Amino acid sequence: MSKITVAGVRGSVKELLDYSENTKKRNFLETVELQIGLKNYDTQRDKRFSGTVKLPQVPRPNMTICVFGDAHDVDRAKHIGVDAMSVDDLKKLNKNKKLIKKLAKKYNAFIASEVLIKQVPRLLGPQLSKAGKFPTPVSHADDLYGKITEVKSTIKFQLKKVLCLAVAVGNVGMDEDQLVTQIMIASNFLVSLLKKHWQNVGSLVIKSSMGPSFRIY
Amino acid sequence: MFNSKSSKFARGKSVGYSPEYVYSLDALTPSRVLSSLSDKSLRIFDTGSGANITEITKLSNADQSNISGVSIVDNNTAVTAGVSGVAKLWDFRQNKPITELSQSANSPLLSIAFSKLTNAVAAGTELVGQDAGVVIWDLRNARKPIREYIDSHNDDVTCVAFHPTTPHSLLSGATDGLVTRYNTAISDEDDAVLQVVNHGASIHCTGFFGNDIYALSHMETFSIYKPTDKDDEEEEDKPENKATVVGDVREQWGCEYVIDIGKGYVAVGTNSEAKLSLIPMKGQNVFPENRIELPGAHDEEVVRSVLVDERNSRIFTGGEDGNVSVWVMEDHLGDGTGEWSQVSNDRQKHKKHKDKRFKPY
Repeated sequence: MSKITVAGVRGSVKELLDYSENTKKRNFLETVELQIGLKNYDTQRDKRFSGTVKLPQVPRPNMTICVFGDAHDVDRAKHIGVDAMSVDDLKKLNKNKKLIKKLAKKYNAFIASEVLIKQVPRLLGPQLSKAGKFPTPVSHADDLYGKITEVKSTIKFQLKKVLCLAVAVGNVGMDEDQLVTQIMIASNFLVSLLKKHWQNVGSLVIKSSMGPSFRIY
Repeated sequence: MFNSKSSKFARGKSVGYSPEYVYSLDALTPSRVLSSLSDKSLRIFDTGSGANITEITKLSNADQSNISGVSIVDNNTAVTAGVSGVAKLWDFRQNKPITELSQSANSPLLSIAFSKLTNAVAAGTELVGQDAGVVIWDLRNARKPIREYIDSHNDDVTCVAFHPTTPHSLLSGATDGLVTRYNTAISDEDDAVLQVVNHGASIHCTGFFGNDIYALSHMETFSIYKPTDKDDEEEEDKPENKATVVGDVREQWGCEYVIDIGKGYVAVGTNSEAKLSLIPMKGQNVFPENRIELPGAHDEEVVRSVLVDERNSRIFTGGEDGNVSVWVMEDHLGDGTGEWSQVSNDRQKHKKHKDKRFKPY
């Protein structure tokens, strides 16, 4: 059973939004982050965990994506206003490490059609893997726009050597309901990954980029 | 797997090391089981062939920090991976490491695998700075690694696995969600990487089903991928090359977590209900309805290792409650010694099978 209630989270979200919109409005779109403190967890001995979950809304709308595909996919990508590269474009990079690194830096994520994805190691070498940006596959049958939204709205939890982790769940441009839903989904998913579930959760805190933090658990 | 569909298992003897965790269990021979624990020790248990288990050897401080993986080489030797950054080849006749396998970067090791075909040992490293990858040694000359692939992952490499019959074919799975297939005969990493699969979630274990590649993530999503050729410029999507996406197995297999995917079974646990069961697997199909339950499991602690001794109809389990337990098929509990003596005659045959069993850690 979930230990946080929609009503409780809503209260904190209201305060958070109120601060960012009225008390101190910033000149950029603040991100809302969920910070988690764990307890009764031994990072030396217990299995470290990591997980990804798709949220209903895109937490960071400014994420940039590039599609690798055949003519059909390139057309589809152009149609919805997303950058795209064809096999020939990739071949032009000529396995040049500098150029590939530059490409990896330019975008937050890549998507590649299933036919092309198997050639990525040959065309680009291991550089994309090294940057943590190996493409997500998409097939011709998939809705490209849907896939892009899916990649953009997927968040990743990862526990390293310390007992706290943080993840972006939304931004202050979202309305109250949306933020509450994002936070509820993210928190409950995280808890499902813990071996003792809520008994492993020390604290849950939400915070906007520049605002104060609000404890929700 | 055990043929009888209604086989029932009961707990035999347990040895306890609480508050330590039992990390791994591997069979050196059917009657000798090697285990690694969180107190940095390696222990060997004499298991006979019945419901008994006795510690016969304890090797303290087997690694300076923690043993993250064990892989059996033969009846008397095994390799271990250490978080200290050193892999060791142990000889249990002398009860000491006979070779230390070191590497230039000295990155902590998280996983290990041994290939009989090429006498190679592969270990996965933690992310240090920008580098995380796979180090490979040749056991015949293990002072220096023969390969260091450090560009293909950007996070901790949690699992390495050799193909059981194709030499030089290696998989590595990492927290970055990628599974990479290498041809370890090639030294240049750019060319050695044959295939990269984006599983989309941190890899818990990966391995081969025939030539197909399976991947299980830490969030318990499971998929089977077809091997692809990176030089294949075919423009068509071939339906037979489609990956089989099983998705989140927790509901489908009725568990909270997967412990291990072994030869002929999947071991799963539900720690909140103190449950542990083995799901039979034939080819790539699993049969959750035919599961074998081990009642009581390791209380509400996570089970870390499951070892099946099919010949003697036994299962060994080790968990975070610090116990190593033997489980015996109920019909066998009251059996006389007649059958066991017969078993010992067949041991040679059995060993072969044991060594081949896939162990991701």
